[in-house]
Amino acid sequence: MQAGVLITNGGPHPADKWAEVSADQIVALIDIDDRADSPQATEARRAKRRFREDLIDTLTGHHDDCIGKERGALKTHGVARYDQSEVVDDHHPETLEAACQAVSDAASKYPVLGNHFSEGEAADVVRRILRSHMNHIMHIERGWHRDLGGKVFGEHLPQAQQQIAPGGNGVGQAPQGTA
Amino acid sequence: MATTGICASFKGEGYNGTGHNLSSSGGDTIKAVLIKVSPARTFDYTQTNGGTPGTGTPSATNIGTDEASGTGYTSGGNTLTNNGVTITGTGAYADFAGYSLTSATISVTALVLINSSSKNSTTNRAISVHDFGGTQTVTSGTLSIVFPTAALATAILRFN
Repeated sequence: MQAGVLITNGGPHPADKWAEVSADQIVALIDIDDRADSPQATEARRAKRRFREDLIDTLTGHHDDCIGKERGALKTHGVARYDQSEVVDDHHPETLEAACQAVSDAASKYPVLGNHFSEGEAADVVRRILRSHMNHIMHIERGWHRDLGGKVFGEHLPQAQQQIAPGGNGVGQAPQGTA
Repeated sequence: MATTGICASFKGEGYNGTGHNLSSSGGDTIKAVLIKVSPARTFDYTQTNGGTPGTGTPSATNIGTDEASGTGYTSGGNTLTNNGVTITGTGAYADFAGYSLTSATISVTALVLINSSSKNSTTNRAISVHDFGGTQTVTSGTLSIVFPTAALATAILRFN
């Protein structure tokens, strides 16, 4: 029941930070007995560590896609967007689907993980995790849009800064710690 | 400082007819009250009510002046979106959508969930306390509360 805190100075959270949060929650679904010293357990722990890194790499792109699409929607709809649902399935279902598939694909690289993430309860939970984080991304983008008086984050900056701002984040602020 | 845990009073209210409605549709209004740095009180499972956040001496019945303050945060706490209650296997859990402060400048150390809907003429009943493991500071940025995976073994509120 531990609540996590994600902090970013100067703007919304960049996609890689969301990817790390998602990856941590997903790999936590892999339950390995810490006391086990069998070759299988050793292999599973190794796979779990590498799987986490793979997930961060692949999910960064998908979360960035969600950020970009929500900014696009805000640009199109303006403040009317605030009245629309903050559920990713309603607006960007293909983004959620692609992210879920990416998790399944990443897991398939590790025989020890088998098809754990491609079907059944684990796949459902993965979808719930990614949906929750993408909904949260949409909420934050709308919050910044409101705070900036109807401007999409990043576009309120001078042109030169916009050009050096990374796609999903902006202004090059150093992300700060999480708990 | 705070100690993470479900409030004992919240558990008791499940048995005495003053229970909480955490349903996604028509549920009670649940608020997340942020706790400041170096609070006077050590918040834990003994909290029974949020009282009047921002005002008064902190106690088991009042968060009082231990509530955090800063840009982007509204005194009294932010309203959460109830994701509903799931009964599964041998237990049940409740989940909420994560929430964020944007354009925020604030330092916080913990979170207290309270139920601001009135039941038997009582509001702001305490639900749970969540420690952040240290001071969390944001400057003109985004502070997000990310709830754990909605599942029986991990959800933010669960009975299993």
